[in-house]
Amino acid sequence: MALQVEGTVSFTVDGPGGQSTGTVVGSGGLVRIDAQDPVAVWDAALGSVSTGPEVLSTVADLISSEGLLVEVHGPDGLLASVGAGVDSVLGRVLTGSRRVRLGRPAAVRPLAVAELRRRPALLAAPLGALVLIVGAVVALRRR
Amino acid sequence: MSTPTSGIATKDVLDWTDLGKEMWSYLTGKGAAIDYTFVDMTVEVPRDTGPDAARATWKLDGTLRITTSDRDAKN
Repeated sequence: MALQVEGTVSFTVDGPGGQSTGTVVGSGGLVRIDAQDPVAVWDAALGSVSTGPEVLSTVADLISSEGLLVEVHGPDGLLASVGAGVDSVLGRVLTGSRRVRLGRPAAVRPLAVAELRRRPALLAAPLGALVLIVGAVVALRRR
Repeated sequence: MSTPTSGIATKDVLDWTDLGKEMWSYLTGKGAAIDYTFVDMTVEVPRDTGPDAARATWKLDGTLRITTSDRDAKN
């Protein structure tokens, strides 16, 4: 099934993460989302009681299966490409789906920082692993 | 907004994710060509349960036309 989207919808969002304006522009198999404040949009879209960042992989796979490519842009450039034609190992590791490719680091950084502030537990696993590795190295060197 | 009047409530909708899946499934029905027109539409999405829960307020304006091809018809 090939899905085609045409047209433009402008939006504003006002939520706990702040305010933002943006547009959604459909052009055949490509949907481009531009957000003035991606952090506010991310928070509003994925911060409700029954959703969360975990839903991103499900949505990405769904979009891909319909033959659509969604590009999300912020003030600093491309944030992410999601859907058909995207195959990213890093996306699989970070979001659970190979159908998500992150954009420019400068554009993604504010979003990553906001998510870590919102869910500091995300840092717990890597930090815990780091502590274990350092501990093991120190123990081995003492032998 | 022009919305379908039937076809979505065929399964139990448990949360926003289920609703999204059902909407998407309906949208991608065979041969569908649907115009979604939003005229200063406001949607409030609560962040938590309870009447005083913080919420995100979305305002939408514009039109999206979503068309699908009938995969079976090509075979």
